[in-house]
Amino acid sequence: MNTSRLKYATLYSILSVLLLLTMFLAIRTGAVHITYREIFISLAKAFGFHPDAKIEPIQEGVFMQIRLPRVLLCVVIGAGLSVSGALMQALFRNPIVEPGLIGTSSGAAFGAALIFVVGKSFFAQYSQLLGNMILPLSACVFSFIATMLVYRLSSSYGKVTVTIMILVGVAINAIAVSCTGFLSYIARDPQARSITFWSLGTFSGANWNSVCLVYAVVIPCIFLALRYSKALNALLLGESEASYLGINTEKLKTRIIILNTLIVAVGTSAVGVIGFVGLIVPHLLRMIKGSDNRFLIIGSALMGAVIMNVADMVSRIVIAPAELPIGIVTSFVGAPVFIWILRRQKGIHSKGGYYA
Amino acid sequence: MLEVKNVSYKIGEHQILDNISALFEPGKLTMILGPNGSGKSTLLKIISNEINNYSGSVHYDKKLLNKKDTGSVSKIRAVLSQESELSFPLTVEEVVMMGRYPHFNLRPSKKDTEICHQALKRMKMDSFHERNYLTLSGGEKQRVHFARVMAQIWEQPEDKYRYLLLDEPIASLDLNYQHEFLKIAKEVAQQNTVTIVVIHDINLALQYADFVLLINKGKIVAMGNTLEVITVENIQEIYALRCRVVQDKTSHIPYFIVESSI
Repeated sequence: MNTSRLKYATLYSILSVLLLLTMFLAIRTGAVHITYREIFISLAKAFGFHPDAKIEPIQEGVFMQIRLPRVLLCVVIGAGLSVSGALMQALFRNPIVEPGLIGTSSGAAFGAALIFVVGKSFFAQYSQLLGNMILPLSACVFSFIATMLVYRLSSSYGKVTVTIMILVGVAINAIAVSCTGFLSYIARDPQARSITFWSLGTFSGANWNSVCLVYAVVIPCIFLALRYSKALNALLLGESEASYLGINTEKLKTRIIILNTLIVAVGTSAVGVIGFVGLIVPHLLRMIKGSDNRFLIIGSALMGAVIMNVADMVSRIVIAPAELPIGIVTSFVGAPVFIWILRRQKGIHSKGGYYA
Repeated sequence: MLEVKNVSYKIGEHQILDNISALFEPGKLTMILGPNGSGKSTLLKIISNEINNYSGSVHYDKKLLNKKDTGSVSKIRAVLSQESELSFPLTVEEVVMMGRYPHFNLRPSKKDTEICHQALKRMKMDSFHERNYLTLSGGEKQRVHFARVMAQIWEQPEDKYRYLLLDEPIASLDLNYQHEFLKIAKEVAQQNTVTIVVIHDINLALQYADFVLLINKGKIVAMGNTLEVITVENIQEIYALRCRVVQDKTSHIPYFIVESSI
């Protein structure tokens, strides 16, 4: 883009440095103060170096069991949601799409709530491990159904009409949310509370189990997504144009929706619903340096991680020692930014464009 | 060589194309003309594999077009639509590079970049490389897309012909670029390329086409050398217009003047 003379590599480096910086900051932030020295010693011990280096057990415990998994989870979920936003925007050929608008997140939320409330009685006989898998699985299934429904209902003759898509998204979201609401209504108290918390998003439950599961799914998905960046670029021209360039658009669409659903559903099942990050991050990147999807995917992964770290820090600081659900923070900041983007775009593309 | 054999296409009970057979040869600029709704764009969509639930067959280089295969043919066949819906900020060069997508895997080679530059140069858009596509005018956008499809089939494959399909490509262009466009299309055709243009302007067809297919109501009315097909009788019949022809004294190209509707 002529708006920026920065090279891609420079941008990636800046974002990577920011990412490391925010990770360290996030680790140090909180009731228990942790120094850089303590961070390095704990890490060294964890990897088997300096097993007898001196460190306060409290600091080490807080770092290894609370802060580190939390920050790692933040990073991967920020990256995942933003990449999923970039993928959806390319697929719908529209920059105002994000997982929260097209049912992916609320579908996942419903799938998870279902397990919260009725799952225990159905799967009680199974082991804990299977129980841990059933929650993300159910989230995946329902978010896939919701996304497919929105996509199918809003496209006719291979073209997605944005107005209809937003309306269908609203309708499907409403169905998912009311189902979730019904579940929390019939739920007994602790279950209902966990649904409420969960639909606002929080990283407070981060542990190594969830970190492992989310990394195992999201990181490969991001790399896979990178393989489709060329095809997604071609798709920006329209479906027939993409097929003239040798791309099997039907296959591509299904794969992208599956990848996206996996990322969002697994993320959502771990930390709940976090809106607007997937919308804002690719958009900011596009304003910096254009819409090449390869750049958008790599950039979104880095920038999404940074922003999620910052948002999580904010959620921990604002009403300390208590903590705010992160979904509140991202929506509170994200929604105004979304409105600003809408206003700005309208000026540029008064004719046709995204809002046709 | 491109052959269409007994192609028929229906939407519901409505017969869009009725048993069309035609042979398109490389080296000639072929134009398809016909009134609105005559099926000419549909024919182009069938040839370009966008519609694939038709009856009959399409053969490229005497090979039957696999209705599901899009990968292999995209290296030798490029299609330019009436209008593209690209509405994302990309540089002109990035858009033209999409034409090279069938030719490289992950990253474009030096040669791909070089071809993009040459294609832009051919469209007289040298200075546009870094421009944001969204800031271009309609005609400029169309020229970028022409550069893109040119880049797609830039090289002459050794044992195969190239195919260039243009669907009403000049509607958004000014007078100068309409002629520029068709001149380039003609040049490409002469370089062993099967070139088919769907067009409305009879006079432009008379000036540039070597071979014309006249379609009306899904059927071929006439097919052959331009002057044999675009005759007063044929035009009056399919467009229901009364017209006459004047001959330009220097170029000897006939020119159609419409007098009234019948």
